[in-house]
Amino acid sequence: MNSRVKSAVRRMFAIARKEMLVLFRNRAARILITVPPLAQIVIFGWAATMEVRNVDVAVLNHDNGRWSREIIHRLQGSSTFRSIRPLPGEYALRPVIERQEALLALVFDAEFSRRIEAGLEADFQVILDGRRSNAAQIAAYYLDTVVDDVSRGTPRAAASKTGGPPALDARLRCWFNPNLEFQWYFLPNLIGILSFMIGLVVTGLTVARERETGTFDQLLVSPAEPAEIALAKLVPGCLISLAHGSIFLLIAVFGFGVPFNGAVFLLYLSMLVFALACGGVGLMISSFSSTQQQAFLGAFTVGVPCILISGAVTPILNMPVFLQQVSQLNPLRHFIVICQGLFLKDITSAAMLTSLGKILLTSVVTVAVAVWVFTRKA
Amino acid sequence: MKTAAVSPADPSLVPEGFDGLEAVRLENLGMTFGGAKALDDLEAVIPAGRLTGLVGPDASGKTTLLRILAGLMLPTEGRALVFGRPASDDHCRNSVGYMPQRFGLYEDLTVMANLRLHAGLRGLTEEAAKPLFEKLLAFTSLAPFTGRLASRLSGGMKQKLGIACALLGSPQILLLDEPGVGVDPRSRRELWRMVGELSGNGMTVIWATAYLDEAALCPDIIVLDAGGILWRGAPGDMIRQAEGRVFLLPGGESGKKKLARWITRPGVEDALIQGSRIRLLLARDAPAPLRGEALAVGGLATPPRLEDAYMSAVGGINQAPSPYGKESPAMHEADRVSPRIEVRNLTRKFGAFTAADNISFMVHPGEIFGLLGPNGAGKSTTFRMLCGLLKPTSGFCVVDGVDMLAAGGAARSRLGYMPQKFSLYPDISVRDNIILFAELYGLDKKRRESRAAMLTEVFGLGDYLRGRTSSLPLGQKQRLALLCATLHEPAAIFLDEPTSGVDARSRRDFWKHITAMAAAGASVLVTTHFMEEAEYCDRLALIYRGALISVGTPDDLKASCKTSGAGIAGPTLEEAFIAGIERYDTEHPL
Amino acid sequence: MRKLWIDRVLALMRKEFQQIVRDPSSWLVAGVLPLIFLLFFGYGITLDAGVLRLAVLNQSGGRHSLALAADFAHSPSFTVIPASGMDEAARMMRDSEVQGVLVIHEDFDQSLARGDKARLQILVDGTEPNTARFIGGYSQGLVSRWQATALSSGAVARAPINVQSRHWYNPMAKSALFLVPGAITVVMTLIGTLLTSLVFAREWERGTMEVLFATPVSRAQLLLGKLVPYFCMGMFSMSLCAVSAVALFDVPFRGSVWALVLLSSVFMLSALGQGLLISVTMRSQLAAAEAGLFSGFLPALLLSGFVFDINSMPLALRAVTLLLPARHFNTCLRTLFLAGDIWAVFLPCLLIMALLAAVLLLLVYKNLARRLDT
Repeated sequence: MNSRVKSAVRRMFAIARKEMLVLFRNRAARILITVPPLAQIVIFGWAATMEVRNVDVAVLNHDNGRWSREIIHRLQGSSTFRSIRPLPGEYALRPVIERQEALLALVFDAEFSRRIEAGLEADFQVILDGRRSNAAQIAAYYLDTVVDDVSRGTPRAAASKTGGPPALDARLRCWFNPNLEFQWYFLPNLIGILSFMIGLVVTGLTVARERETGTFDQLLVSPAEPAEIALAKLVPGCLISLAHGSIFLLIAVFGFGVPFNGAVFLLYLSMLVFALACGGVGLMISSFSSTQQQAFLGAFTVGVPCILISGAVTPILNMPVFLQQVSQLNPLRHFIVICQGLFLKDITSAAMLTSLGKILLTSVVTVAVAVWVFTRKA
Repeated sequence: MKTAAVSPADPSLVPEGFDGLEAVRLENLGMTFGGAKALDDLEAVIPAGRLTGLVGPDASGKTTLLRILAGLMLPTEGRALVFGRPASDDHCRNSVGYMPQRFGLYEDLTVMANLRLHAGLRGLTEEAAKPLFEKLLAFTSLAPFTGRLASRLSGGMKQKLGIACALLGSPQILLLDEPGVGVDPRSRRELWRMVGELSGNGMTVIWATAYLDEAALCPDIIVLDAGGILWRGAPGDMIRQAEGRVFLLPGGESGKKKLARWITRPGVEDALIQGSRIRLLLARDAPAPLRGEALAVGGLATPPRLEDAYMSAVGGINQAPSPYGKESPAMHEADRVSPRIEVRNLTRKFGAFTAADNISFMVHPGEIFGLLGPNGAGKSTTFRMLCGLLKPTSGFCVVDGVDMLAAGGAARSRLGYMPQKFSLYPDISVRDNIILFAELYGLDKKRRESRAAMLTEVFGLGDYLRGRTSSLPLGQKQRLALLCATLHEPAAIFLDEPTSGVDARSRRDFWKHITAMAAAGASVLVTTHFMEEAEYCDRLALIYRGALISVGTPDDLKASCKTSGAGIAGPTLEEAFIAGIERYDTEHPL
Repeated sequence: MRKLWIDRVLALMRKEFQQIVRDPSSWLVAGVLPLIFLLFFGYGITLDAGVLRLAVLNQSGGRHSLALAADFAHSPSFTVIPASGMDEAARMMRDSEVQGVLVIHEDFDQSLARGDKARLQILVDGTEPNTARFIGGYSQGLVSRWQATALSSGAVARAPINVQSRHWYNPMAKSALFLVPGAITVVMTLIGTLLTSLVFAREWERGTMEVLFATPVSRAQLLLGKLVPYFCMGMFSMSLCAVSAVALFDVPFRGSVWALVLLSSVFMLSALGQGLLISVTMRSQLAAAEAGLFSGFLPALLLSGFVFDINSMPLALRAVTLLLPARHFNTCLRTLFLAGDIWAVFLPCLLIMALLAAVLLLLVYKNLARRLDT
């Protein structure tokens, strides 16, 4: 019995060794495996932001009094707003928004400052470009804080200070990411996305390529069992994934300043289990396809939706309930939970193990299906 | 100046104009790929209006030369002129028809769509193309199949379609790259008729082939070897080089043992089994007593064939004895009485198509059993079922006492498999491939080292160990594949077309090893489409359209053809094969 | 002569169409995948917050605190989960079971009774900043409304300065309206790459390229013969996407069809050019797959302005995005669907896309080896 296990391990080791040799066969292949993911994490990590900066504002000021000027002045001082362009008249309002020369336009009517001086309420209009409504909303939120600030100095505010109702002191505090840095959210996700794609493509295309060149038959005719072949094929993906993961971790922490609060070994454990799952999905796809082209299409057909419903780009909770349930099958979703838990939140072990268990389940099921198909196709 | 516009002239393709003397002239032609010389300093003139055979094993430079003539490659040295113009010249493209290996058809299009495409590419109008189509379809007898997808055609029909497409431009010169490969012998004869007709009408045809028997039929040949010209002229002149040096010796029961002895004798350039006899080729400088000895054991001087002359020209066979000769314990332990491979009622259907139909045979220890048949006849399907790669629809096969369907890894370690297509990992080194297979078959390090060392030395792979496997020459690749399949001394060895495309000299080597393995007790199951090679087999099975149409020793098969056929005198295996096919076709019309 | 030239292209195109018709995989890529992808994009990617989970830790338990908690429980924005203690609340936050915690301190009711400031704390999971902002905004709004109604028992006092905001083109500020046109861009980039990235590789593998090159066909003819059929397939996918955007996701279509056709055509040329370039330069299919992913899909997803606003990116990256056809197409599609035909927006984008398409196709042409030896 023991010797049987030993020889099985030897065979798996031999196949895994061969896989690594093939993967790193020449300079071009080595570059292809290493460089793009690293470039991607830097570029995309840098690009991804939900902060809004460099906002162009247009102002149609019929008032020109002290208070409207005060608001405009404050906006100019803010880092969010890049330029403030006065409009010559009503007619210029539509084109400036239409042509996306301004994300928002403020319209003050002639009575604005006079009403404030008189201790009355004053309104002004903000027109937002609905084609970028998310950015516009965030910019409007900055505008609100500016306006609140200005309001405090108005005569009406000063009057209402005395004898008002007892105030509530409601404090808002953000945990895990006190300054709401978007990159703290996105970089751990990006690690998941990139590992997922590499795992899928590297493992997914190998079996199809072996089928095309005929080497797969050679393996199947040898004493190696299909399960041994499948497991051995997962090894290179796992090793690459761990290597990339380590570099990603360093870039995220030292390059982008993302905190890492969990245990490093837990991250490695999860990366390993996740790589097994990605490889399993890739293996399953390629077990169903007989050419590389089919495997290629399969990898995209499965991979793209998996990324979209993983919560990596926008939160899972925003999705319809049905999709939220479907995404339970998605190993990337659980890996992202773990990543964020380990980087930002110091997730509890119980919750982490639950997610890890789900990933493990995916890998076991996909590898089992792949092995089953290998033997059935024979 | 003549315009490039194509005149939709008569498709029987009388070449217009040229003075009819020389079609192709090669001047110091050389081609280098990344440091490796594929063609080296070729000088030749190919006459117009004739059929010229371009002969040589795979990787000898045939395809490269044809590609240069078709304008697909620019030579790195010298030049190639086609009707006086450089082959790369755009005007040449209208006068050249080219059919690459595997025919270059769009398999997902119909016969007619393929023809239409080529007509369009050659700029033929509908009206001009129509009579041409009719003529070509009649010429190729493809008229009933115009609506059929090219993928559904037989090898022979694809062949003809490929030629028809190449003929659409009314070329003056037709380049055919190994049109005979994968086509059953009958279709190959028809092909010869077609090409003969074309060249009879004045077209220049260059026919590349790896088969010397095919080349012998051409009026002119150019024999390529490792990128250089080994010989050119009429085949008869080359054959005469071996005049008076070929003998047929009686073989009998112990023929293979005698053969093995002759192979190692100095002065012997070639020795092979031919039916119940041994064919012996002596070197020009063979010691005189050798000749006497050959005659003394009952040898008869016999007229030489092109292959004899070729073997002589490349320096004769490799005389080192096969390392497989030493009897190995693994091959010996099974008793020699019960069959080692037993196939019973094996059937495999793909949908409505029956790829293998009720096939049964047995192979005993120490026996070489050959499966013969054209491509697509069901050889490979049968083979894959035997290896456990494909599940039979019904029936079963037992290898070394174990049902392959239910077999575990242990049972698989008793067989060695060498697939038809070279299937080792091309991107890693030769050594890494050997290590992989040694590990897969559980060889311990000591045994691996000793066995690998011995085999690599005999196979001459020592110099290549560290190089990438894909950069090996073809003959070495095949040897490496054999090495990897037999590293673990299997009891049953499955070889799928082990010698296709390999030069005659390497083929002899291969069969030396195969017979040695069988002599040491292994059962060898081999497929081939070289009829002369089938002579090495102890028994043969003919497979055609999925069915096993006859089984027997080579002599049995020839004899059966003599009795049932139209009284052919001394039929060759090929004739026996064709007779078998024709008999089957009349008994089982489609 | 001219007619002969065109006849050859027509012959190649007819062949390509016949192949496409018989190849189920091209139907899958052009007809089924765009719909599947668009559905996943439309439902999977949204910036509108769903129902948020909020733990309420009521340490006070008095009348006012219960009323405030009840207000939260009744709000459609929140699902409220009671927490028994700070430890439990913290654990729920760490394990992402809730996105925020409302902590009502034990002296809340007493302070109110005394007329002092009553203390409340809203803890927000800042991991995902967008959601965090929603929770902050919603809950503070709720608290101040409660304060106005429950404590001062009067109408909500209005602030001295009020901002009245209006979203043009998208009055409800629904993220789907601008995300779906963006999704079309990403999907079409992907489809363009998938359709073409393997076409030349396939011809080489099957040996048919050799035959084509042995005939008098020129590179330009070959390129056109490939481009036109796949262009038609791409436009077919594009129209599928556009129709489903309007029918499934209620995106308004305020522009004109012919502007859509013009913009899509130019974009399609650049997307196909990118795929064809991969196809002619990448030897192995693995390399082609990776190139497709890393040069097509991911940049289109992350750098086209689809989710992440381009203006907010660092200057260097903004410059890089100028080279992405997807970025320009995205800008145009949003305007076309939501605002209408605004040529001031379209023209510069069209110009750049056409330029990119020309460069890409030129590169394909240059790299399309006429001979086997290169």
